[in-house]
Amino acid sequence: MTRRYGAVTAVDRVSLDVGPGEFVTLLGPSGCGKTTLLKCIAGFLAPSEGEVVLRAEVINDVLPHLRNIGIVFQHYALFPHMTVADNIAFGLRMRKRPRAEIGRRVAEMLQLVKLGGFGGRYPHELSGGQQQRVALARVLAVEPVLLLLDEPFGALDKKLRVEMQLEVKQLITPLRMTTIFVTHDQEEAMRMSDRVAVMNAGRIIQCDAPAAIYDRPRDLFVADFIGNSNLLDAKLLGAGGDGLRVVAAGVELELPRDAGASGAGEAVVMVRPENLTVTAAAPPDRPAWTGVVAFALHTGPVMEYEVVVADTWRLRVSRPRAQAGGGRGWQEGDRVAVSVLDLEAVRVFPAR
Amino acid sequence: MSAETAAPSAVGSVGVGRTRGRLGHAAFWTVMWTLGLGALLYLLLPTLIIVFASFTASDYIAFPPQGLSFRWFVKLWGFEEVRASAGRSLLVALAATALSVVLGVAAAFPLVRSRFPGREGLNAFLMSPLILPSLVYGLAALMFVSAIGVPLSVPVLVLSHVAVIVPYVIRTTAASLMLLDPHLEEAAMSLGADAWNTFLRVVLPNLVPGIATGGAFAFISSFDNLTVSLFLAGPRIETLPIRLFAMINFDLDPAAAAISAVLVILALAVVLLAHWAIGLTRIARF
Repeated sequence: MTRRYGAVTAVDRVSLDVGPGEFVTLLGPSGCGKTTLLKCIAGFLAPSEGEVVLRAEVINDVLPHLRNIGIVFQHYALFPHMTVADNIAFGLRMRKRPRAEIGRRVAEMLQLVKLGGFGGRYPHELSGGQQQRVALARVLAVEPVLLLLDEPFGALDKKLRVEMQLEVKQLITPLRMTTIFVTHDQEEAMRMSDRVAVMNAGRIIQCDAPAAIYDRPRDLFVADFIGNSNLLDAKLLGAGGDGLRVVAAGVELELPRDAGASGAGEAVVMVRPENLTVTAAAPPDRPAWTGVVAFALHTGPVMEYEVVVADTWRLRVSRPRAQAGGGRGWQEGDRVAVSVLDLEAVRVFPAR
Repeated sequence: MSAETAAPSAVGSVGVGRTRGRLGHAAFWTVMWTLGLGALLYLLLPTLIIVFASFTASDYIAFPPQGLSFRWFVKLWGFEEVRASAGRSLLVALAATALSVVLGVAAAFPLVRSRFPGREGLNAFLMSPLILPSLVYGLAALMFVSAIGVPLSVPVLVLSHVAVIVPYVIRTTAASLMLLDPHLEEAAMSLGADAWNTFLRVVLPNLVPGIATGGAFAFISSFDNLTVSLFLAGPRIETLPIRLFAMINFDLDPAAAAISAVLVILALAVVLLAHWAIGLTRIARF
């Protein structure tokens, strides 16, 4: 589908197929069209072109309240004038379920999200994490066909966010609830999803399992957006032997044939920081860059180094503390060699 | 060495700045309090004088009151015309307020939640009676009513009041609506609520503070309205402000002060009532 606002195309010929019980994430920078896409699925916006299909039925013209699609918002959108129990009962009341059933279901939901005894409270009396759980209970109470999560953890602090991610995942997985999750936080996307659809400028660039997105990004945008990477100016020399010969930041590497781009010419090579290692001297068996350590940072479990090669290229290396080199690690100003651990995990893209 | 010599002078300059800052701070609050209290006194003093004067025991209006009595209020109650006009004013104000709340809330919703060409223009138009002199509106409404051949009556008076007071309701309701998270409506819809249920069960309860404020303003401005009523009440329909106006023209006795006091106290009561209604919803929300 496509969605335009006047002259601006917010969602541009996007095609996405989500299977039953699947957890798919729309990941991208703000303004990439992910929220617009979500609103079109929920029915708050109509697509300019294309179709939204739910269970083999085109629902473009179905009003939002008849779609049975649940949604959880970043700021939860709990009804402030209703108690927690009334919030959870709202969808069931709209469906005109019998009173006894509503009571039972609300109690069940409160148990599920570990908020038994909170039914009489008002939303403002709850913490952010508790409000989040109420929002989830309110949606799950009506057993939607599809669950939409619109940056639901954005308002939580980092520690709580990770806890809630785990909790939500544990809650949803056994229900086999088909879920579309929107976030700009790639770690969150990686942690929670069966598949991640990386979006940019209104398009889905790549839709794959988290590991595939990380290891085999389709283009430079994905390589840059997902995780940290060294993107090095390179020159493709073409196929040679049984691999692909490329000169990256002045050092010739022989990559597997399926490393990305082919042919010859200007290119960009991507190496993840954890796929590089720092040694005192170049290892005899593989190519290496030599340079000077520009900075060394402790980040708890990992040491991060930046090594400047030939005054031009900066290589970021991250090593677990235990293997960070000697007892004290490398210091700023040390002359070192940097080499690739696994050439299979190096990617090459045509230059921008 | 140079750093050590520089240190004391730096501390000194910070100290000077601190004294000057404190003086400026004190001056700021003195000016604000003086102006604020001045404005308050200027606004309230005449009103307080008329309320006090109404409790006089003398036969003429006097301030300070000569003795203290409720005789003018008792006497007021004895005037058949005053009772009738007060009852009519109350009826008109209640009817006009009820109608304004329904129309104003309905108008505020699309004005805030929908995007359509000319929205800003419509907004300005609906606010126009607040800007237009009500004397002009009164004359215009009278000409309109006689042009279409409708005789002057209480319903006509109510409708003319509605036109003048409905902007209060629109304005305050629109302000409340702008502050309301639109995701609440989307959440309600996704949970199966149609447009009516979303509005009545989710939007409306959260607009109570705005509606109560606008309704209180609307009620008071209808109850106090003289200019529009002068044109549209006709010779046989007398409201309390018209009665008061006639009494002042005829003979300024303490009964006029007593009517004024009643108007002031009623306005105060309505404002307090609205405040109480808002307070109740606030407690439930925050």
